[in-house]
Formats: sequence, C-alpha cells, structure tokens
Amino acid sequence: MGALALSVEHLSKRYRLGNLGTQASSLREALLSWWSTRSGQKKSSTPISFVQALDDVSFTVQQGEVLGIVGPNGAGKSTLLKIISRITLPDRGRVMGSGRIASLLEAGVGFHPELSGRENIFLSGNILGMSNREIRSRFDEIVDFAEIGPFLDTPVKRYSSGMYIRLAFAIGAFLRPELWIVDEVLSVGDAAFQHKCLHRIRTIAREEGTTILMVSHQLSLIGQIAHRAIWLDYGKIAAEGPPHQVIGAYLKAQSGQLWDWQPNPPFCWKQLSLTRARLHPRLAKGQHVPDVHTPLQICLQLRTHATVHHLQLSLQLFTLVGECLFEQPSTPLSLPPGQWMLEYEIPGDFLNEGSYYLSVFLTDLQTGDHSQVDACLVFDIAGNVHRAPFPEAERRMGYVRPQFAMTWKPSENAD
Amino acid sequence: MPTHWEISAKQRWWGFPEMPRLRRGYRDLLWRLVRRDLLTSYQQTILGPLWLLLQPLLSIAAYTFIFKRVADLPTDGLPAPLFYLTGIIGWTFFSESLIAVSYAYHSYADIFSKVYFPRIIVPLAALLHHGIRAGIQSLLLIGLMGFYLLHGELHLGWKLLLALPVIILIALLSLGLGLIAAAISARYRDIQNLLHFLLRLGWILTPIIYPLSMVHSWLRRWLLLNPMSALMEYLRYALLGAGYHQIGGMLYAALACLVVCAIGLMAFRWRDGKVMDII
Repeated sequence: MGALALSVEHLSKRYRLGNLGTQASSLREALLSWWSTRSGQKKSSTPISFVQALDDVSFTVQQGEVLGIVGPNGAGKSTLLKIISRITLPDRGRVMGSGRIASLLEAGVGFHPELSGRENIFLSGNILGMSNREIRSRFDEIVDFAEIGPFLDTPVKRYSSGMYIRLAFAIGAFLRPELWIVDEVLSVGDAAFQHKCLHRIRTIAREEGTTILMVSHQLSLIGQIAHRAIWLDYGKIAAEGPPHQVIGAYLKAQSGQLWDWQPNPPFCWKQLSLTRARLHPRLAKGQHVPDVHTPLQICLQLRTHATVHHLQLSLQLFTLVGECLFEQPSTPLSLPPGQWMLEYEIPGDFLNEGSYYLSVFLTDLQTGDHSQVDACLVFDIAGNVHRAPFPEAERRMGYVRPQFAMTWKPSENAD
Repeated sequence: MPTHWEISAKQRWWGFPEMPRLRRGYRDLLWRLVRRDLLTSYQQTILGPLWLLLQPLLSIAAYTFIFKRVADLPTDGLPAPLFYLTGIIGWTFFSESLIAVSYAYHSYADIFSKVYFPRIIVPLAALLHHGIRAGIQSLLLIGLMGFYLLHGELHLGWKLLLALPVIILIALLSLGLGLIAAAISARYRDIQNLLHFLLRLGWILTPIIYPLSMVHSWLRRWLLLNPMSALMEYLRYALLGAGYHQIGGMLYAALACLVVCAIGLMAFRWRDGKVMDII
C-alpha cells in the first residue's frame, strides 16, 4: 500500500455519431462522397454530433487497492476501462501506470471452442500476456479453482456455461497481474462460485498486492469488496470516496428521496389496495432533515374491498445498496371492508446515518400468495455532528446504533 | 511511481516500450496462435492434416492433365509434376498467407476489443502458420525431387541456396500486401472481394502453369512488373535448375517486396490506434 499503481490525468474521449463522408463504411460511399465534394456538390448536411464518453476524468489508484466504478449505462465506464487496458486511445489526457495489466473485460477472451480446456488455458493466458512458464507454474491452481479437472482435454464447446465461466475467471484470477480490470464478470455463475470469486478477489488484493479496477451493476458487490468507489456520470466523476457513500449518492440520484408515496392507480392486490405511504420524521425545532436522533413515523393507508383474512403485512427496511436491515411482520390480520391506517415508528437513535428504503411485503398466510411494493419510501438519515458535544464520538460504523448495556466492574487479574 | 507505461493521445502504439517480462509472453503468444491455427484447421475432418499433402497432389494431377496433356503448355524442359508442384506450393503460400493477414483485424475484432497485445502478432502468426503449412508441403516436393534425382532427370547445385532468400521475399511481399489490405479493410470491407479477384488474376499473370520463357519478350517485361513473376521463376531456377534468372529482374522484385512490406507495416501501424473505434 502507499505506492501509486495507476494515475489517470484529464482523460477525455469522444465518439462521433451519425453519418459522415469520412465515416463511410464501404468503398462505394467513400468514393461517392469524394466525387460529390470534388464536383462541387453540397455535402450531405447531416450534422456532426459527438458523444463525450469521457470528459476530463482524473483519479489515482494505490497499489493493492480495489476501486469500484459505478454509473448508469453510457456513463463512460467501459470507455475508461478500454483506454486503461489500451484497447482504444484517448483524445486528450494520459494514463500512467506500472506493471502488467490483465483486463477481464469479458470472460473467456480468446477461447477457441474447438480446443481443449488445457489448450485454452495456455491460449487465453498468452493473450493476457503470460509466458508459457508462468502459466505452467499456475496451471494446477487454475484447474483446481475452475473445478474442471476431468474435462481438461475436452473441447470447451462441450463445457457447460458454468464450467466455461469458471475456467475463464480462474485464468484471470491466477495471472498475478499488477493491475486487474474486471468488468461485470461476476454477474454470471452460481452463488457458490460467486462467493469463491469474491474471496479470490479479496485475497489477490490483500496478499498479492494486485490493484483491481472493477465495474459492476451489482452495487452490493462493489459495496462489499471495493476499498473506494468512483461514480461516473456523463463521462465525469460525480462522486469519489468510500464505496457506501458513493453508491448511496449514486442510488439517491437515480431514485431521489421519496417521503410521500401515492401511486396512481393505487397498488392493488386481491381485495386490498395500498393507497398511500408517508414518512413523518419527528423533527426537532429548526431541523429540516431527519438525523440519527430523529424518530421516524411511517404511515400506510390501505383500503379493503371485502373482508380480508389471514393477511400478514411486513415492513422491510433496506439500505440503498440493497441489504435488508430488518423485517417486521404484523400478526395475522383480519380486516373488514373499509379504510385502514397503519402507524409504525422507528425510534430515534436506532438507524445510523445513511440512505434507506422501505418495502411492504404482503402475504396471504392461508395460500402462501404474496406480493410486494418495492421501495415505496426512500429517505436519508443525516449524521448528527452539530448537536453533539464530541462530534467524533457520535460517528459510528454500521447501520444501526444500539445502546446495549455496557457494565464496568473493577476486576482482579483473573486469567 | 515507477512509470512503466503511459497511454496518451499522441501515443504511437508501435513504439510502445513493452516490458521485458511481457516480451517473453508475447513471443509465446505468437507461437500459441500459430499452434491454435494448425490445431483447429482440420478439426472434425476425416483425413485431418493429410489434406495438407492431398491438396497439392490433387492439384498436380489436375494440372498435369489439363495444362500438360490437353493444352500442351511447355514446362521449361522440367518434369511436369516438379514444375507444377513448385508453383503450387509457392503460390498457395503467397495467396493464403496474404488473405489470412488481410483478415487480421476482422477475425480478431472480438479479441482486440477486449484485450491488448501488440496487434502485429496476429498477422505474423498468420504468416508463420502458412509458412509451416508450406514447409510441410515442401516435404512432398523434396520427395519428388529425390525421385527425379535418382532417375537422373534433375541436377542440383549451389543454386539451391538461392531458394531461401526467394522464399523470404515471397513472405515479405504477402505480409506487406496483406497488411495494406488489412488496414484498408478495417474500414472498407469491399477490399476483401477485390482481393480475391486480384489474387485470381495474379494467378494467371504469374508464371505458375507456364514458364516465362514461352512468353513473348515484349509481354515478359510487363509480366515482370509483378514481383511474384520473377520470384516464382527464381524459385524454380533455384530448386530445379531452369527458369528466368536475370539479376536485374530479381533486384527489382526484391526492392518491390521490401517497399511493399515497409508500406504495409506503416499502414498497419497507422491504422492500429484507431481501429477499435472503426471496426
């Protein structure tokens, strides 16, 4: 740690859109356009338009750091990774780094379907810049990790998709590059394999000092393993910092806060419709946003069209990264037709600062049918550093702020 | 930070200071690609690599029947099978490696868009692959030469040594032309259609099924503008002892090959940095 592994300075790149003479895709078009300009005819007046894929992006990455990159599609993530892995050139700016880069922009780059797993390990490894000797020295680890031992000499076109992905990931994971670029690779494979991959990524970063750049739409993944995150939006860095903050900011920008939810038409399920959900933070005087001490009242309005039996309503609170903080189910309900209001309060000093959303889960306990309203309320809890006498003592990690009893007693050396 | 590499807009990809540690990997990659091409070219065929020898054998039979028996074209006083086989191997190497090199961007677009390695490895691997194929086919030629040598219809001499530079020049020419075609076809795919046509034309304009000696001298001068003419004649002269072998024509051909190869390398390099945004 400490040494810079990668430095990106003022990187810009734009792509040209639309038709243009010089962009002709066949010789005929090119000749026609040349002829038309030569013979003095007007050029086709299609306006030239550009997409600024990257706009003055600068950041640095420390050696051994895992940097997550988030952002909506088209934000420039792929362009950035492509420039860093030298697939395409920037228009302006530069990237400096040290060591070998292995980019896993796609699993199984260069795999040839007709060749055996063994041949493909060497082929893919060579393409990623490994020498035969290096591959041989890691061969067993790769085969072990990918769990393809018995199928080493089978052409990969006969592999199951799971085996294929495992092998592809394993090659990248055991390359020992100095900089590893991982793009959406983990979105495939089963849970056990994903877990294994995560573990491997952590090991690589911690023990082998490999720097990792990863892009994923699975934000929880970045939240779990990245040390730092960058949010790219329209080719610019919109936020940079600890993963949970950046992801929170990103998600908030995507969804916005939602304190009063009134769907039109109302959400209907069976004989029941959910008409409104509201958040009433019990704000202190002069306070505008809820903080960690603010009790939060949640009101749900529903209407039953006929008597509803055996209904269970659960409130589920999630962090914006999508981790469920808690679920609170109601007792089995029987509601006659009419309007109903549910009041629920999350006391102050319970939730830590952060961004949360609330989902409502409805179950018919008799039949097991269920339905849910996802993210009907979205809100932020601010940290409260202004009111406290020792601001730093107020700041806590985690999602909740329990106050369980901590008892202090004098003790003799009893060990 | 120990800066090992830098990427910027002005970067010439060609002059990239590759790390020594990578150089070894890239050399291995070159041979890996050659090996892959060799391994996969005859997958799921019954005769497998035997086709490599069968193709020229069938061609000899057809050529001997059509061009020797029916059309009665001369063969410079050489045994017809020897005459044709030299031409077949030489031309096959030239045209097939040219085509393979010209597809460098298109057949690898998928890989090029995902991972970086010096792009020139791909055309070089294609050239080597076809060179090895030609080498295997040459075993046939050596066998046939041995046969005629034993029957006293062939005499070998120091001229044999000339074959090596001639083969290298053929390789450089096909690499150069292929790279030019690759650089153009990265944007204009039409070039591939044109290329196949030009190669068919070239097959006629090159003395493969006929010797240059049967052509009128005014036409010969025009035919010699095509560097492959002199090279094919020289190849036969070196290996079999009969053929056009004036030093002037040879020097022209050698110069043409070197110039074309240099242009090809520059065109490929010029295209390299931008290709992934175009293809």
